[in-house]
Amino acid sequence: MNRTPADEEAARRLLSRELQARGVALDRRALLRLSVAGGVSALLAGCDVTDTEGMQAVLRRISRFNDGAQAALLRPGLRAPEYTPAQLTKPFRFNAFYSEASVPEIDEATWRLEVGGRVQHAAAWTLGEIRALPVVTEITRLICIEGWSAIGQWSGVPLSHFLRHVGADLSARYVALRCADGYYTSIDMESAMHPQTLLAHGFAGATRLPDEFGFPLRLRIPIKLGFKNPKHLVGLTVTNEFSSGYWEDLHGYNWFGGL
Amino acid sequence: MNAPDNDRPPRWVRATHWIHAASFFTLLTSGWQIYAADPFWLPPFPEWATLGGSLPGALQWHFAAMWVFVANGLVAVVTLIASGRLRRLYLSVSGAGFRADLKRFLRNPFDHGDGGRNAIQKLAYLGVLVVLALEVASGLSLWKPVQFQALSALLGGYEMTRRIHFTGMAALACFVVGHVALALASPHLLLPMLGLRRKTQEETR
Repeated sequence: MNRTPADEEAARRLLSRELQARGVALDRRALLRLSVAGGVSALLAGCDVTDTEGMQAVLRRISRFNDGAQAALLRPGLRAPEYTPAQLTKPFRFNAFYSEASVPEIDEATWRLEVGGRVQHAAAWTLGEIRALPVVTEITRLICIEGWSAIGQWSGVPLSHFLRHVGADLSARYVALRCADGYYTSIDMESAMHPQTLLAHGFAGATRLPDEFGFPLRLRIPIKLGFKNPKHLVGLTVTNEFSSGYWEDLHGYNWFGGL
Repeated sequence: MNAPDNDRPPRWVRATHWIHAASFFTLLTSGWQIYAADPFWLPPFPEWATLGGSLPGALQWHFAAMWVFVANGLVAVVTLIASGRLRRLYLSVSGAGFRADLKRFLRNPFDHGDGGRNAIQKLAYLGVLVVLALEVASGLSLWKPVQFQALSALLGGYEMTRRIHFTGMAALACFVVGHVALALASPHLLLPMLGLRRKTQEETR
């Protein structure tokens, strides 16, 4: 679209004459409408239009707007639906940014959860210490951003309890999470304090989280999409600094990812 | 607001119609790309027909276009009702009129009798309004199945809602095929909708 205004004017006159010959009067506004229609069809014809930088920037801005819209829609006390054991999805579906053969094997003896940031008691937690905290079990639906869903049963300590226990600054904006496999993400404090948000260490009635589902500890947050439920946690930071996430940074998934 | 039938449709009808068309196609083609991430009934749609390049891009398009689609749809529906256009042009269907129009349609689909919208067209447009409302409701419930869990339950739960959203899409896509084919076959209706004025002598039927 590098045509000069003079070219545009000439093209408009030409088109106008042609249309007049066909019995159609064309005013400036009608032409503008035709150009918009043409622009839209050009937009839709080339599917890699998403790759152009300007459009990419616009879409990302709208995605940030959608983060805000979702935070506004979130009702903190509203629980996600819970299900009965008969409704469990068996077998539960594996999903990660690698295949099932590449699932990290973690040695419980040396594993620690590093807790830091805006907390009074920064510390490295062992699995035994986390298991000693109150345990909540819930059967909820995990919904993947790809569209599929699966109902599972997770057990663990409510994150709200854990954050209070470590003296977290609950007025901080985010909880950022790091994983043993290099994955990372962050969630808003309001969602972190949701009563169903768990640091889960049990699955499907077993007290040990299966390797493929995030041994030894994962975040289970039924009010967010699956990719906001990081597995193999090794770090938890309470912070006011926004740090996005693996898929968010790599491909532009929406950060809030709320359900 | 009451433009004569043989002139261009009112400006707000043309504006909301084309904004609707653009946002609908954005939602349709990005939706086809999103479907490819986890297809259930049909195999994925061909890549060339989709928007967004891959799932993340398609989601960005889908959740951007939804605002335009819904805002424009609300303006259109409110104005359709407030202007009396909905009642005058679409809700005026009688049983006898429907039977007569159906007979005429089966004889010759392009014979419109008096030249106005026939009963079959009126019912088709009303049906599309209902499907559009269902599509927005199911879309809202897929986007926020927890925050709008009452709506999600009403639609039969998350997995059922995905299938409703897909079925609504298919119904609307079928309508668009027919609608566009008839529009292309009827330039005397298409050009005014594009905002182009016809010459006076052509305005008589």
